[in-house]
Amino acid sequence: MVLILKIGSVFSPASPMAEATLRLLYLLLILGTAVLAVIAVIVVVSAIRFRDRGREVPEEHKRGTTEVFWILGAAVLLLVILVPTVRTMRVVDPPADGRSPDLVVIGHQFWWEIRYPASGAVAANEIHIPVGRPWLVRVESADVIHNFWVPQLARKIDATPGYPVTMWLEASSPDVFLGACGEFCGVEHAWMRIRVVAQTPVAFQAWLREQSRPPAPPVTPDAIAGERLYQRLACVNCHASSVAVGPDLTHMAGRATLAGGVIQNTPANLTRWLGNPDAVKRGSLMPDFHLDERSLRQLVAYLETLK
Amino acid sequence: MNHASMAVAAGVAEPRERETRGLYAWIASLDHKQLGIIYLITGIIFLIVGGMEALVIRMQLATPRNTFVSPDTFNQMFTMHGTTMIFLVVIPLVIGLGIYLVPLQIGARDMAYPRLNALGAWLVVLAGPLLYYSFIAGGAPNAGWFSYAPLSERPYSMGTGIDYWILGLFVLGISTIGAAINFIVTIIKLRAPGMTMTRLPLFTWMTFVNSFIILAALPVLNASLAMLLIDRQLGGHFFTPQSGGSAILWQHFFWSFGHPEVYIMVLPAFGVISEVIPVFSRKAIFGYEFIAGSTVAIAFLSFSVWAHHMFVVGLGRAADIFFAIASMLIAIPTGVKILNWSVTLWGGAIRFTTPMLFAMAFLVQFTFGGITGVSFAAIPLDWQVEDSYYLVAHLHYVAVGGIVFAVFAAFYYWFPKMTGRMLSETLGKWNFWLWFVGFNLTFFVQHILGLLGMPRRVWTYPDLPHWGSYNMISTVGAYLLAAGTLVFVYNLIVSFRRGAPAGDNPWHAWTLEWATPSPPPEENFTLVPPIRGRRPLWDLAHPPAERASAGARGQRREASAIGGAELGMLAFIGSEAVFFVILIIAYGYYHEAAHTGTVAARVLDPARAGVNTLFLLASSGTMWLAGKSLARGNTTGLLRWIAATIVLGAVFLFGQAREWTALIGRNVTISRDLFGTTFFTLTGFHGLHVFLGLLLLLMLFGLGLRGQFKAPRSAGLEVVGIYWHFVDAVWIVVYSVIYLWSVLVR
Amino acid sequence: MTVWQVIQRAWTWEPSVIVGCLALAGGYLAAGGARRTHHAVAFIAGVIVLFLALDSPLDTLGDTYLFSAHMVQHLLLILIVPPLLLLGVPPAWVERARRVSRVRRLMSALGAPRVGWGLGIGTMVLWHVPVLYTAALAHGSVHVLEHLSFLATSVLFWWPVLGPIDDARLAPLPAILYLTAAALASSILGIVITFAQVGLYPFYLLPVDRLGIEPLIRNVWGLSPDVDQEVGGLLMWIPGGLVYLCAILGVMSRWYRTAEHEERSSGSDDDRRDGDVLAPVKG
Repeated sequence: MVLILKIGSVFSPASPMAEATLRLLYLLLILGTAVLAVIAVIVVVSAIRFRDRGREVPEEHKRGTTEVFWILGAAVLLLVILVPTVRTMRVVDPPADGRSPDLVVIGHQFWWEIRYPASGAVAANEIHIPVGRPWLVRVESADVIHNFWVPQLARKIDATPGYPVTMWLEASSPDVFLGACGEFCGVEHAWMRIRVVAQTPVAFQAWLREQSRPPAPPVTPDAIAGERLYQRLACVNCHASSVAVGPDLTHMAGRATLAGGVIQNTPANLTRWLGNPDAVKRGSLMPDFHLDERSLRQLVAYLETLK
Repeated sequence: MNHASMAVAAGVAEPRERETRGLYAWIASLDHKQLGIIYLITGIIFLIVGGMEALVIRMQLATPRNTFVSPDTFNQMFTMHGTTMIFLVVIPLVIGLGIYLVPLQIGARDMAYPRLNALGAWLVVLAGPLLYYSFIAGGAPNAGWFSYAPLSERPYSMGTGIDYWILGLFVLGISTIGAAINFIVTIIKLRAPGMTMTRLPLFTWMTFVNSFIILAALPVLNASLAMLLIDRQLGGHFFTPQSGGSAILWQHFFWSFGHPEVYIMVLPAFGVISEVIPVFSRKAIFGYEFIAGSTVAIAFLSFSVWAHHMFVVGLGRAADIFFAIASMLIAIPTGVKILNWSVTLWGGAIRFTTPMLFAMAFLVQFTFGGITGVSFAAIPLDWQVEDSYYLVAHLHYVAVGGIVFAVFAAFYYWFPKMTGRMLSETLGKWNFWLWFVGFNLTFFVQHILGLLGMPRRVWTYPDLPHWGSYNMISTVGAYLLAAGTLVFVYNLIVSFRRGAPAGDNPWHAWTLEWATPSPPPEENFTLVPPIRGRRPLWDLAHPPAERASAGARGQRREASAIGGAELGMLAFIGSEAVFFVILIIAYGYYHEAAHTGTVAARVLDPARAGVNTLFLLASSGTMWLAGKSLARGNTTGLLRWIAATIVLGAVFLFGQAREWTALIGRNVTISRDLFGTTFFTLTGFHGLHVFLGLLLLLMLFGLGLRGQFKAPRSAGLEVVGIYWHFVDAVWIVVYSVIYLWSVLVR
Repeated sequence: MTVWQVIQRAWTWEPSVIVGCLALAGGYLAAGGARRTHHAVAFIAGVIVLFLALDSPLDTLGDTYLFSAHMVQHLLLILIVPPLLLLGVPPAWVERARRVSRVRRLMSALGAPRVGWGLGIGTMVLWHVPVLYTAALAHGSVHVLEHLSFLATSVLFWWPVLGPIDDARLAPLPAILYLTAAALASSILGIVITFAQVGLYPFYLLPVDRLGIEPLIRNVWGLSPDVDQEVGGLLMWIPGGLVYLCAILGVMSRWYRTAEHEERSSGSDDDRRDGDVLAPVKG
């Protein structure tokens, strides 16, 4: 069926939680269709059978039996929905039991700050997790209410400033899973996309090691000039993980997308972005430094070394 | 003949002609029929405006990464689309229908408070331009129609858009509350003989119950708006997490209004369906009592489900489950209605007129929307699809597929009564089919888009598989809706001029509004027909074989209950009580969450405030004595006691002002911390009410000086008395919560 | 430990409760003769619920371990037992009592809606003030006073709605407002308790585990102190509210049934004038 898709949909779960939720959806689909069918049948059959053929219908006095049956039936139906609902809640959202989070996700306007408390690694917008292990994620916000949503893997949860919450994130198979910010947070709410890269434990460890290591120093002349430019422009005033006004860039070259998922991470796109951020992501808080072509080339060359 | 005698001869006709024709007559009108039409026209105009905003949205979303409009424009569009459709279209349309129809359906001449009625209508007409002025004042509101904090706060929304949103909604809220008070008093006091409450046409019954929901829910909105405005303009901290406020509290407050609001919108629609389906099935409605009773159940339960809009906030397992259960429960009375409407069709003699087509589509579409609504109560599902296009689909299925379709049915059904002309059936069928196909095309695919992962309120989206094609389908549907709306407006205009004459009762319906000419004369009825059941005209046409002798049944006329004026004031103070409850809850919440009690304990002087309180309580006593004086015919005593009340009230306000000045002098201000914010807001609004009360008392005093009071009773005095005692009672609660509690904390 | 074992251990047999309930039931049957009317069924059901509320494990759990259990007990005492008892009183008895003028005057004073509402809701709110709540748990005599006051004031509360005498009952619309206002008050109380910080009633934070069931409660049933307090508040709010809703629907059902009955038996104009809807209705 055209509906069942691989990318980013509730219909292609890749975790026990998402699977349990999909089963609940199917239950509701069946029950809902049944109820709708009852009403639709009554309406359609009446429309056909009880057309006006010029007779007057006598007045009748009714007793309440039909309604009582309906009320009891509806109550039973709702109970039938309630029990699986509570069970699914236990699967999707088991208690955290005081465990400390494996991942911290902080929403900003308009990007996601990702922190790995155990190793100290910091990333942005793109999350790497090992498959098969449920991770406890603490979700917070640095400014307004955002919402973390990766439909194939987990429930969505609000990132409310002043109210940190936790959720579980798990992937059953290695793949890339897309998500989005699910609560309107301002001008570029649409481009606060999330990428979850689930890797085998070995690959994940390798990635984590790389993230914890400082990148290799620049070699080419452009890159070296770019590094100096980076320092002169004081990019770290925003892009340091301690400040977190902008995403941490230490390993930005390894990410698949830029600027919250609005463009792919290629040198050409990066040049476009640095040249005129507002043209790429209107309303982004990244300033335009009005760099000339050469400076752009050098800066991009440097940034491309940050793997 | 000279002018004078000509005037005398034509005396009765001429002045009336001058008054009832022309634009001025409409502007100055107090006639509920004209005011109702003003509401309806306003609603239609904004339907077109809101629809254009929707078209902009759909055009922008038709293809991935589209750049038809900028993100900022888009955000203004969806905010204004939602705000307009709810507050400037649906509410005026359903209230306007009520204002037009309720007096007619109960056999009354007009509403209980014609001037309040006029005020309400013109406030709506004013509020629209007020809200839309924001477009040229720096930008329309752009934080969504529910303006979640802190996005709607400074520094995240620095422009004035949100402030216009607040002010526009405030004005509309006041208008709606006024209409609700009017409905309650009209329906209780002005029914024709024989029109008992259990015989009311279901549209009027639903409007009646709806008015109570309005009285309890709109003040919550007004209080929330006030707090947000205080945050934005006076530096308050109610909803700013950065300074100790709570973003979640805004959600609780807003949805405590917002959820009952959707029932405020839908109950009159239910009323319309309850009128249309029986008439065009030629059959009395099935289970009148259950429909009436389930309405009360819905009204009651609507206040206990609001946090189902907050399942993704992470409120905690127990709270989530209880709200889920309550939300599932409310499906039961709604389902009873749907069942009864459907069963009414069964065994009837169905006529497929345009209103009936819209009503039957309503049945299926609203049920569909209701079912997806129940799916949100299955919490893990909500945890997937909340705030996605699945939600957008659900809300449009109930609000458009349900409410707007019912409103169309209402127009096609009652337009003949309002204008004396039938709407064109051909154009009506075009209207219907364009809307039926267009609506389902637009919104059915949005369920799928939500399940595919598309969040709502995104100005564009990535080129993921099928997102583009489904969005395109949705946009095509929107154009069909636009075309259908144009057909509708054209139908209205053309039929108004050249439609077939309607006569009194073109549909052979049974309720009282059809027992008078179309359009009705100014006094509505020259003679109200006898009312012996729920279908007066049917009973007239089908007299029972035997009838007990008229008047034999004992008259159950008890001692007359509350007068109309007092009833209205009681309804008003009911709504004001809700307003204060919200402010008190905010105070209490921050007392615990932000420990404002420690500040209170340090800076407040409960003893002095207590003395001040005594003055206010004494003023209640003098007010009561004023009433007693009038009862004894002692008009000098009356004046004296009113004057004493004014003086005592003024002393109280003076004491308040002194306390405020002292506090501000000690740097305890509304913007300094949460104590200041909550304290000044609560006492400030109370002081405002006292001040308004003093103005009312001054008016009474003036009237008394001119000898306007006649013993033993005066409605004006009683009404102001009720208000004044209420304000004092509120102060007792406020004093306890603020001052006595601070003593306990010490 | 199974639930059955818990029940066995936790069931205390309070002599005062047993005697009281037997006296109540016995007195009723003696006064009316042991006839099987629906009044009798309601009254005996009320006594049974009263007994279960005050004597079953609910009582033990509520007194020591769980705020939510105590809440269930209170809700039974306020919302279930008094209506059942009132429905069980035949109108004839009250009519006979009212012939004594002093009794009649007392009845009309206490039966006024303002009195019933104020005392009923006021008592409920008062006993939830933490200081008083804890005092009731700490001192047995205060606890008895608490329960008796709940029962007495709740009977007064339900009297204008469910009382056996038509004249003393509110008209349908005021009755609905009366019940809605009560639901609102209890909802606000429930909301405050649900969302307040844990430890509103510190007695329950560290219960004295004489029965050895605390691990069962905390771990197996998952009722930690904050969940317990939340559930307690929610019970007051939603199931409590539902009882009021059922009462409202009952009032409406009686209203429509009476109106329909009148419509069928009369056939002439019904001379209802404005304002009558607020006056007491016969039937």
